[in-house]
Amino acid sequence: MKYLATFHTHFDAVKYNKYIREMGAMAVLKPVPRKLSSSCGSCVGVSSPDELPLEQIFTPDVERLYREDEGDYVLLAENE
Amino acid sequence: MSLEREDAPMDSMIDARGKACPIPVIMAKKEADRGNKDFTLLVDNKTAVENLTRFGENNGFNIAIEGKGLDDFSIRFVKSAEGDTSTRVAAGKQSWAIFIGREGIGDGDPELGESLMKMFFYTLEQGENTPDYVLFMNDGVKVPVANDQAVEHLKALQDREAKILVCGTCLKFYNLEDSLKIGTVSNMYDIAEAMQAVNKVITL
Repeated sequence: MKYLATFHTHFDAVKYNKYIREMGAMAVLKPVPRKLSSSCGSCVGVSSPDELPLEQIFTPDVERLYREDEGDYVLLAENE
Repeated sequence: MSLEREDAPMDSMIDARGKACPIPVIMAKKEADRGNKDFTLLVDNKTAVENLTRFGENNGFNIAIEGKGLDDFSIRFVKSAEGDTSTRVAAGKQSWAIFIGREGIGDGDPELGESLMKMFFYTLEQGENTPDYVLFMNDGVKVPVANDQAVEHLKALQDREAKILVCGTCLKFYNLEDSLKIGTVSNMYDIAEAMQAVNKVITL
């Protein structure tokens, strides 16, 4: 499963990128895809051979979490 | 009218031992520019061998290397029958290169700059227009050494025929010679030549 997380600030994105890597999953810092909008232009793509539980992926720093599905993004969760 | 020299026997031996990078390549180029189609250079280090081999292959020479230990090499250049098989870029495509002289993109916060560099290479990998060259110098050599995410994107670009040249003098200056994760250790001569070979160079 591939996820994409957006953030309110670039700092949150960098911190989250590091956090996901420390959890043993693959994280890629990238620009927010054109079809999505976000407070911040940076987002993090997450993929993991061993699935991380959603609560570990959807942290309080995340603005929105999407499931990535062949170029489409399905909104899974959103922080207030 | 002057006679062309190409029929004259021009086999010659050039001693480039003790010369710092990129002098041996410049000596080889001078010899090639003179029209010499069969000459041999003596050098005393492996980096010079690699640089000279690349120069020869890019300029239509067959290369034969003989090594006598770790600090004594002879490299024979013989012009191949096919002539100049230089690397230049296929017609019809706008060739381009990226020159990176910093570890991050732009001035300001270094951490932001490093993140932007990651995202730049991510975006480049996603696109279809692969650069012909990615050139790293000065602080920029830290990208193919230490920026793990950028290294992954650079590997993908390299698989798509992008040539990644990293300044050897700069790696040496920062004591990073053994830490390069992607790209070819190169020199000013190759990098300047790459910049002149393409239609445009974008500097980050």
